[in-house]
Amino acid sequence: MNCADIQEKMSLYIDDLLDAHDKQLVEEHLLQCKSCSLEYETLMANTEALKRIPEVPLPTGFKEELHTKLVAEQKKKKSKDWRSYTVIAAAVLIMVVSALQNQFFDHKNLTVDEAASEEEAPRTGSKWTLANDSQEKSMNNSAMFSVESAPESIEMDSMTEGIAMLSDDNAFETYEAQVTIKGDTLESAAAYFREYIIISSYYITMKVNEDEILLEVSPGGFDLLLDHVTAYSKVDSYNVNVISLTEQFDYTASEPDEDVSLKAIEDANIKGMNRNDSAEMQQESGDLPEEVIEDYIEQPIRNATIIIEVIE
Amino acid sequence: MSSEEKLLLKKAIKGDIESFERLIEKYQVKAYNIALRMMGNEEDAKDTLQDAWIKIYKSLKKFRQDSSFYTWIYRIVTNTCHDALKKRNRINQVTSLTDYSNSFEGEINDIKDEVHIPERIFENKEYTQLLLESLDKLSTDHKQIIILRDVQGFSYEEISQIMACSEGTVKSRLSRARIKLKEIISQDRSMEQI
Repeated sequence: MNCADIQEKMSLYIDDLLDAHDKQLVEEHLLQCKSCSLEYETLMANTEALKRIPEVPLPTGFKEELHTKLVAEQKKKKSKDWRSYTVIAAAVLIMVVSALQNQFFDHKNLTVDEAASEEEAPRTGSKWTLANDSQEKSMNNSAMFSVESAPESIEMDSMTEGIAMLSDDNAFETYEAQVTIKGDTLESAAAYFREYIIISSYYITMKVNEDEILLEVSPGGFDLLLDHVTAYSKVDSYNVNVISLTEQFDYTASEPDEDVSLKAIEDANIKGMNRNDSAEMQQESGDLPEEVIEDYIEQPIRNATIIIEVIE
Repeated sequence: MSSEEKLLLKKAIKGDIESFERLIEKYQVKAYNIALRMMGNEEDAKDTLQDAWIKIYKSLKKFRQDSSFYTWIYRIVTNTCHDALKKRNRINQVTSLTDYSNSFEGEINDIKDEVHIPERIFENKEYTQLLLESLDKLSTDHKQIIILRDVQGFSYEEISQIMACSEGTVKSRLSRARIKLKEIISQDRSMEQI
């Protein structure tokens, strides 16, 4: 072993971490080489001196000062938490107020009530709802929305939640994502998304069908919502499509109740709509009158959707 | 972690200050001494360590219980000291000294001062003072590893966890740090003798 090799092993030799063979080689070299021996003595002396440096106690008052800082930190955190709680409470209050208002307008304006009772109002299986951006309410009793005002929506049943949102964006395209969740229940997945809906600054609707969850949001909120959805641990796969609205028109109407014809519902819907407001409907048979189609052309569907299939 | 510590940790995560203080009690002195040797003076050591404890208090949720609590704590303490030193502009890179890890060929010709070390010099208080002053002139990384190994007595494995590097890196870094410390001391002693 030459001096360079010894130098490399010196530190481990000082710490007694060499194997028996290398240790012997180092010791043999040190007996013969004055320079390396001096090097070793110096390094060893320094290490021993460092080990003997006495431990210093905590300064007087250290713990008390730390305690004061921890208390201040805790107060800061609580203050931040309260701000979050206030925002959530405000959102819930708005939802409740809008629900009460919708209930009030329901009796005044909804002609569909004349055709079907509230209990019979079409709700299951519907993916889209009529909406306008005035204070007047949707003809569909399963959810009611307004556009430009503060969010107004009510939860009509346990299957339809959230606040509807129709965008003021002038986008002529929107997005649709299909997401597959595996190994989870519908209720568990819905609970996860419900938490996000409450705190999101975008208006989002959630509808839960037999084996899927439908989330609807303005294109502006799509990216954030998709990020949150795909962050869910049980997501298996997803894909996103861009839908051009200048080429397609989607009209929607609720699935008719057994006792109420589709035509009757459409007529009722048209009567209740304000022509100056944006209207979103999905056409099933193309029977809607021209003025409705014209309205739609002016302000096409803007909501983005995320369709989540849940496989247990 | 003992079951008592786990319980204290659980409460501390929820914000219980008293539980946090009890949890860190047994690490306080060692942490302070690490900070003191890193920062070089009491005032800075006190402020930096308190900053580190606040960070630890806020980050308890992030502690993964599959690693040891004390190496996690000391990592945050040393990193906080590291940052504070940078801020204070006291990172002293020792320059103009040969890097022994790469350049050795044959005999050692680069030792500048072949001074015989008196026996038991490590018991000499003045020498210890010189040692501490020289320690302060090392780069932060070298200072940190000397403090953890030679002053505080952590094992190579513990040091690798605290510094978040491999044991191989610990070995080579420690070797270089010890050599550079020796050279600084030699230079300082030569200066004194002039």
